[in-house]
Amino acid sequence: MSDTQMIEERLRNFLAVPDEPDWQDVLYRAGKTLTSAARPRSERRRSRRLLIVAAATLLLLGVGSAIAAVTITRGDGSPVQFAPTTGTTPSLGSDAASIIATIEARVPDVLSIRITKDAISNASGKGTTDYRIAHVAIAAPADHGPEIARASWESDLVGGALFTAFTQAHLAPPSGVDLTVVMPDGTRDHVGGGLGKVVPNQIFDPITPEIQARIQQNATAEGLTNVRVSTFEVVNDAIEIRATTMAAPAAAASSFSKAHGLDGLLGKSENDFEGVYFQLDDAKGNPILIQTTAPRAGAGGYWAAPSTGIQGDRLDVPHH
Amino acid sequence: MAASAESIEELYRSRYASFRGGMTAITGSHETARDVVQEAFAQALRDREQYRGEGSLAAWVWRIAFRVALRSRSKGRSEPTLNEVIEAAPLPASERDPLLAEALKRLPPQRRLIVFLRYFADLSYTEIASLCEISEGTVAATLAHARADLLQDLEREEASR
Repeated sequence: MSDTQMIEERLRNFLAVPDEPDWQDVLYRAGKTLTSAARPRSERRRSRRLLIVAAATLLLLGVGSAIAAVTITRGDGSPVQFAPTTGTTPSLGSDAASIIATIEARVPDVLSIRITKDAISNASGKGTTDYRIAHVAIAAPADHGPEIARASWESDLVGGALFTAFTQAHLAPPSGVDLTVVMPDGTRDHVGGGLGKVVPNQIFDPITPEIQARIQQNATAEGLTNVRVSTFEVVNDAIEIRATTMAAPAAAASSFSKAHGLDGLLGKSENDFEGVYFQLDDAKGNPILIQTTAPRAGAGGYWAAPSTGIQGDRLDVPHH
Repeated sequence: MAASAESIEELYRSRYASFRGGMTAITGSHETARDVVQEAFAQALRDREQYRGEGSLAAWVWRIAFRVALRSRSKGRSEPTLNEVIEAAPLPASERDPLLAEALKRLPPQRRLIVFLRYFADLSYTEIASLCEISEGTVAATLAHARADLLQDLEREEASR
C-alpha cells in the first residue's frame, strides 16, 4: 500500500457513523404531508408489505395527521402484477393528447395533466438523467392531513392510467407522477409523486351492482352506518366508500383491522380493483381513518387520526 | 426545475453516511451532526422548489447542510464563512486515530476544508469545485498537498513516540 493509499484509508476510517438513516424523521421535521414521492418507506416496511400481500399490494402506514404512502417495487426489480388478469385494456386514446383528455375528464378532481421531460439528478449526485414526468394538478380542500388523501389517490390513479394507456398505444410512458394540489383559494402546493414498477396491461374487475350491495352488507355487518358507495371509470372502475362509525376511534380502527380491512369490506382482494378510496368518519363527520389503493400505479395511502392510537406500522391487516 | 421529494429521499439514503461524516467533522459531535443532517434534508424537502438544477442536487443539499451547521455553531451571530467554520471545526474526539485527529487540526484551513469534503463528506472533485467555487485542478492539488502534510506530520509524531 502506498503512502497515499494509507493516508486515504486512515482518513476514510476516521469518522464512523454510529446510526442508521431515518427518513421518517426527516419527513416529520419537514412538517408537511408528503405523499407518493416522499413516501416514507423503510426497507423494513417494504419487506413486511410484500410479505403480507405477496401479489397484493400496499398497506400504508399512517401516523398522527400525516399521510403515509408507498409505491411497490418487487425486490428483484421485476414489475409487479396486482390484477387478477392481464390483456388488452380499454383504450383511452391513440395519442398522448387524447389519452390525457380522457383521463382529465374521467378522474373527478383533476385540473390538468402535463407530461414533460425532466432532468433529474442521479442518486449519486453526479449528473442527471432525463425522465418523462406527468405533472398533475388536482383540486383539494387543503394540502395536509386527511384533506389531501383524495387528491393523492387520484394522482396515483392518473399515474397508473397514463402508464397503461401510453404503453398500450406504443407511446413512451411517464416514469413518474408529480402531484400539485390546488386549494380553493387558488394556492398551489407541490407535493411530489411516484410510480411503482408494475405490469402495464393489468385488467381489474368491474364494480358491479352486486359488489356495491356486498360492500353495503359487509359494512353494515361491521357496525358501520351511513355507508355511501360510488364508482367512476379510469381505465377500469375505481370505487369510493365512505362510512360512519359510532364506536370510539381506537375501537373502530381495531375492528376494521380485525375484519380484514379493505379486503373484508370488499369481500375480495383490494388488488382486484383499479382503485379503492375508503374513508371512515366519526359520529361528528370527522375522518378517523382513510385507506386508498391504486394498484395500477403500485401505489396507495393510509391516514389515521391520532385518536385511533395507530402508531407507525402497527396497522396489521390480515389479508385473505 | 424543482427537485422531487423522491430524488431527495434517494440522495438521503445513498449518501447519509457521507453527510453524517462531513457534519461530524464540522460540528465535532456525532449527535449534533445527526441533527444537522436530518434538519438539512427536512429543509431541502421544504425548499425543493428552489432547486434550479444548477449543479448537482447533492451539492445543493450540502450547501443547506453547511448553512444549518453554521447556524448551530454561530448561535445567532452573523453566519461565518465556510472557511471560518472549517478553521474552527472542533473535530470529534477520535479514539480510533487520535494522531490523525491532531494532524488534521494542524492542517491549514483551506487544505482541511478540502480534506473534509473529499474524505468525510465523500464529495467528488467536481462537487467540491462547485461548492468552493474553485477549479477541479485546485481541488486535486490542494488534496495532494494536504495528504503530504498529513503524512509528514504523522510520521514525525509516530517517530517521536
